[in-house]
Amino acid sequence: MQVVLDAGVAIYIAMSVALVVWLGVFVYLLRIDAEAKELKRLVLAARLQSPTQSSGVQVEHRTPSAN
Amino acid sequence: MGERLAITAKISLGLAMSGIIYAMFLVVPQYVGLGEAGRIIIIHVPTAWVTSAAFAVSAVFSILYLRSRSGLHDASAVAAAEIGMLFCLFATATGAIFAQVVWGTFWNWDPRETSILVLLLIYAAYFALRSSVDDVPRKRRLAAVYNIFACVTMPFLMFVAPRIADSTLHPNCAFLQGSKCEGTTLDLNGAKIGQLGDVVVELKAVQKQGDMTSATVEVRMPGLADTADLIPTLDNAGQPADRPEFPGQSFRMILIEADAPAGTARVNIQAPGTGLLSNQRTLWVFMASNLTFGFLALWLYRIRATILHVSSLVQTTEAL
Repeated sequence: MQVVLDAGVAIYIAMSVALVVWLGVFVYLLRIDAEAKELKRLVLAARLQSPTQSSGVQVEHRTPSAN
Repeated sequence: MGERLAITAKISLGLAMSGIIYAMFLVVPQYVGLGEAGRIIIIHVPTAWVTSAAFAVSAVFSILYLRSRSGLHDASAVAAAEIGMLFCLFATATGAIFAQVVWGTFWNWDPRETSILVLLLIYAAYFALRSSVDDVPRKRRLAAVYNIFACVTMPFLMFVAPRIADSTLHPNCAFLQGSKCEGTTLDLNGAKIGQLGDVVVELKAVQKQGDMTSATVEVRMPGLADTADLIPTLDNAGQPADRPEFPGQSFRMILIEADAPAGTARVNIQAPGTGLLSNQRTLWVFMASNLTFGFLALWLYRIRATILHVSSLVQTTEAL
């Protein structure tokens, strides 16, 4: 514990923690971005196919399996 | 082609932010008086600037919504406001951490802290308004009008109010040319409340002794936790000499000018942080950080706007 709190080491640990957090956020954003795009594509396709029919059920079925 | 470009841009953003984090810890030098805490400006200031940009974009989309009544514009306005709120919270949190390290307290109702809190509450009310109206067209209309008014207050709260305050601990002068930070003028007629941060200050005496001029100022810290007589001085060239520390804090009082016969003295707070960007390495990392946080906000906005737009499309279709 003493080594971790040493001024020379602590800054590298703080940087590593910040980088790991950013990596996690970045991967999460990439995934959610891809899923949002796919969802939009499915909804727009469903609206084109049946503009007067509810598309909510179709989207619910297709989104999770599509990814 | 477009898809490949988008992927490249996202990967570049990921690498750029990693580079900013690396540079923030290992390239930016320590600043005298701030230690490691000075590094936080690499995140704190860009997030604050992104906040103002996001709120402005949100207001533009609200205006567009009122003209077009398009769900896409409403979704874009909400997405931008959410991103602004997120970055505003981030800027406030990093600012509070900086304040704890440098000023000795997370929150001391400094004009800058107070104005950002008011801004957060104004935009919290925007989201509360949206969730309190069930009728969708009415909700969108009301929210758009409110958002435009909220945005009008934003430049005042972020840029004007903290600068028209006589004194602030926030190192405005580090970043903006023309910031006054002129301090506050005290006279012998009694205490002044909240003139320096949230400290009660009372001028007790102004004296000239040889070449030196001194002012005796009683300061009472928040909650009357500490009381002390500070005696800042001016040398014969009119430059601050003795700079006593506020009790229990790491900032100091300086005497800017004093008029012994008239019994007045102009004092100010001197907090570490001013002149941070005069270092070239810090300045370049800071500029790169602004750019990177700007692109990150843009990406977040696009994701959130897409999700909200899809959600509104599904709701519209279901309503049919």
